[in-house]
Amino acid sequence: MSFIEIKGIKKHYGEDESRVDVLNGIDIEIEKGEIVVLLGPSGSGKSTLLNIIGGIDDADDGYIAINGEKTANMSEKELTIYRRKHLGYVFQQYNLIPNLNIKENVEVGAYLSDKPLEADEILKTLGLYEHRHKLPNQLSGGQQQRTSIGRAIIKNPDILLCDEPTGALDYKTSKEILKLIEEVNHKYGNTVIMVTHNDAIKNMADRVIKLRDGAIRKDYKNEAKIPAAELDW
Amino acid sequence: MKNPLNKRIPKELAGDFGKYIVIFLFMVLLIGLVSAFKVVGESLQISFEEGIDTYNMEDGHFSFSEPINDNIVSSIEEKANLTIYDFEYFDEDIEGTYATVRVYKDRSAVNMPCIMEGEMPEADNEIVIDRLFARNNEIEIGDIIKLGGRELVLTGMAAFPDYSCLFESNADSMFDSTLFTPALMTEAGYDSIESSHVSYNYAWTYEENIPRSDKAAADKRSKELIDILEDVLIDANEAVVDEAIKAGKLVALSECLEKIEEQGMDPAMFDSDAGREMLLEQINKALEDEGIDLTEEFEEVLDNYPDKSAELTVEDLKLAMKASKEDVNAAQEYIDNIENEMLTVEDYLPRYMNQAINFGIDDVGSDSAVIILFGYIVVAVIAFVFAVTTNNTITAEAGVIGTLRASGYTKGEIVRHYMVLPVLVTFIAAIVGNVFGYTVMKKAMTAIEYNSFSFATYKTVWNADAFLLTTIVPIILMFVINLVVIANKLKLSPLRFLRRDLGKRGKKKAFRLNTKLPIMMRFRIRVIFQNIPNYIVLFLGIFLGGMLVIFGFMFGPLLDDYAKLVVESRIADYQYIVTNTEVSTENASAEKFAMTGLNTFDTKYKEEEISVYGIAKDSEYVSADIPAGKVVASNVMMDKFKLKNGDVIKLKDDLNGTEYSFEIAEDYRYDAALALFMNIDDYRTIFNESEDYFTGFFSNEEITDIAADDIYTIITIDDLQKLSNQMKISMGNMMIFMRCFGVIMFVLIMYILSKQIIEKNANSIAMTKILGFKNGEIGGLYIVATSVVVFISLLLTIPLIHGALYVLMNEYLYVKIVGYIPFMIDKSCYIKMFLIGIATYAAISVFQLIKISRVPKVMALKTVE
Repeated sequence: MSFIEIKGIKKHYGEDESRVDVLNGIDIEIEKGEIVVLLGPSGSGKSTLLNIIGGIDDADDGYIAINGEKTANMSEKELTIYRRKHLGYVFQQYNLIPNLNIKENVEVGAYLSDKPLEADEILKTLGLYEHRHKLPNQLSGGQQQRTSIGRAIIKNPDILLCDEPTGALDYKTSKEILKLIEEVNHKYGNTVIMVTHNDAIKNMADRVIKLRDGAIRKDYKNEAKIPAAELDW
Repeated sequence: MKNPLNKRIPKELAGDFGKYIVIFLFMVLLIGLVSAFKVVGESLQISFEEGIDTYNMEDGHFSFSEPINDNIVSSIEEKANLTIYDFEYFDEDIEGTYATVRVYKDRSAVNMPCIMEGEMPEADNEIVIDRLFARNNEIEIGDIIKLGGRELVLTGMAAFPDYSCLFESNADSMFDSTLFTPALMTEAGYDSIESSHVSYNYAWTYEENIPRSDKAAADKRSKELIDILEDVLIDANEAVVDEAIKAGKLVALSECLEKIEEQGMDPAMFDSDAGREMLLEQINKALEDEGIDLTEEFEEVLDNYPDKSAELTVEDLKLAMKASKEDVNAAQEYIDNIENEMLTVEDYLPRYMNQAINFGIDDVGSDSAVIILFGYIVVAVIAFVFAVTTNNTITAEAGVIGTLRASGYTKGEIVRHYMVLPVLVTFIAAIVGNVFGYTVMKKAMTAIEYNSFSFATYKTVWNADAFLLTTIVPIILMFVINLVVIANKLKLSPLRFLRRDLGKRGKKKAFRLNTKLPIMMRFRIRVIFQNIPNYIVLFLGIFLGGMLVIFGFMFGPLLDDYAKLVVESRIADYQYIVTNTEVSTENASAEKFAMTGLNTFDTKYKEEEISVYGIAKDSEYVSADIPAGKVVASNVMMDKFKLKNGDVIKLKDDLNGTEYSFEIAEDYRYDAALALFMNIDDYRTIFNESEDYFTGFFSNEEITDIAADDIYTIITIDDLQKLSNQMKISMGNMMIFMRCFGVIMFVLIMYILSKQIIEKNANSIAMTKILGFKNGEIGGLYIVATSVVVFISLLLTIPLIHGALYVLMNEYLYVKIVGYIPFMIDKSCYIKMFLIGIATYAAISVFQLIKISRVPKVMALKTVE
């Protein structure tokens, strides 16, 4: 049994003439510790799939099972606990709390875990330790995104969901963030599912899944995986 | 681990300090006010209850036509299980004024005064008067008061427990703390003034206390006492009655014997028993046939003493035949003056019916419920202000909330986070407000109460209920309202927060605006519709604030108007109430009338006395067409009790328990009092009075040919205006307070909500700046939009406030007070409220304009979200 089992996921938005079928029966199995990159153009359904995996959106059909535990049968409360226990989220927009400093923003994630990682250690890993007393608006976009990653990983989640984590960043900063995600994966062994439309990022993944029009067009193991530091686009 | 979100709280507080401090201060003021009102009110109530023992407050008082002897006192005390105290007083006006001073002979054992300032009188030229009266008349300790031809030195100012409210007479519709005061002198000082207005008054206290609230028990006990007094009076007057019967028989027999002699018969001829019996029979028949009547007074006596037979006996005849002319004249004189010989009750007033004792303390108690309710309404409005502003914050922080929720934060944790500040601010404000209420506000509130009533000193009593009502309840209100609004807002899914899609399900299409409208106008209309929740709360705040402002302004013109109405609709310039029906006058403008006071039943409205008039046929003074058997009612009576033509009103005589029903034919314009008018003949029949019975004279001229002793009282225009004058004095401070509170509420609501609108639109404002709009133009968009709403709200609230105050007056004020003041709000009050509202917003707009000028352009560029 795979760590994450995605079976027959369907999803549509709108009705009648305005109906859009976003996902048309997705089947994926992901192993623990893998870095999976979901690639595809805008509207391919990759973010919707990520949100369904994250339990913040419902599927019309099919199910997601984490370690055999199906999310479709969960109540809203159980879903919250599921996210709390297993998931870390990183978005394109960093969504940091503006009037908390960097360390406090990271601690917001720590609060959700019974056994969180050490905040200072995380901040050092993220290269933010010396900025820990600053407010988010005193930092660059990359530093803010690193903080949001810190907030996501401090609770040591089983799965780290990243939705276009470099979408708002420049080339250099994007690479730093990708390196960080890779480092976190190595260090803590989390499964990483990353949505991106940047084709170059697939090279750092263990597994690449390409979506188009709500269906899987390609799903393969990346035999030529390279470190994030060597990515180029 | 503590929730790290909590670290935001102080930062949030500091970041929006302006909003929180304004709300905090307002709530401190509000809770302080409510708390002080409640604490002062309840402390006064407790002190009043304690004062019943401390000052040995009377359970009632009665006065007699002459002093009663020890036997009568003992008899009443024994039968009614009470203690009687000699409580004699006289009324005299301060020379050169209309102010009446009621000087008591002795208050050492009952109704003991509480000296508020100065000291008790020691010399016979010293006097103590009521504190409030002294203050209203600017009389200081050491001042000279000229009374009954003597110059008296004021040595102290007191609160008299039986006059916490300065009602000169229990029949007065309102007390008068400028024209009446009780007073105390030494016994020698009292005796040194020869007054013709002495009242042989006696106070009583029962051996057993009953709770003040148990009116039924008090009523029952009072009726028992009335029965006892009747019995005692009958016994006391027995000798007088016997003498009257003898005298009556003598006078009647003498008249008959004279007639017999005129017929040429010699009464002495009938010396035999048989002859005497025959003579007696003839005399009795003559008395009956010829209507040779015993005097009216004699008949009255006989009526009251049915066991005394008026039948003539042989002994009576013997006495009559022996009697000289002088004896007969003396007997006639005795009968003529029988009223003076009889001991009668002049006044009877148990404590539970005494307005001078109860009005003030009842007023203090009943107000607190309304003030608390008012406080809760204001807290609810503030809670909505909080909820709306928090709602805006949630909208602004949608992305963060979505991320937190996606990361595993529960809805409850987020709700709790946003609830902390409103509840915390309310909690601290409640604590500080209570401290403020128990210290500063308590003094202000005490001043208001002591400005109206003559209460004795009181000690502050810690009141757990007051604390609960002013702390826990506002917190619960704040909690519940914010919980409902915030939880409702946060029930959306994390995804919708992440997408910033916080609108109602199914996105509404933007409503279309006529493109012919200038773009700036369309822009403003969009701003208004975008901020509907803010504007609803703004409207609510303006309504409440406006109501307070109007309430604060309305009583001045209302009371002036009422005073004018009273004068315009007066029956006569003078109403003379006389002491007996023998009084007559040569004054051509005088017209006889009869009047009595009957009480309403204690239903929705407070029990109060209605003046029932008997009006002469073709009256010059009451130009109403009064049908036989019916009454006409004064317009104020119709208004107050919501009566209409054809209604039957039931009234009662509290002294003897008789109930009366009157059918109302129509209303009659008389604003001064709650009154019924009937034909004087009907009056005499209904009240079992003689054919020539009357109570006094209406006159538009001063009557100078009636002896002062024959005048019981004169009702002048000044007396009719007492109600409005007194209300003006007693409500003055409270009205200023209400006005200030209303203006503060205007400021609070307008400031916070207009600030919110600017903050909410900061991005758009920054963008318009980038586009090249000037600050003034941007202000024109956002501030003018809110100005329009303020303007419309101020206008729309006017009819609502009018309606709300009408309901408030009818359902609360008229139910609570005796008497009636027609509801009227002068237009000037609304104009003032409107102008204050506009001025307040104008001042706030300046701040908002400054705020707009400080919105950085970079804001629009930096925040991509």
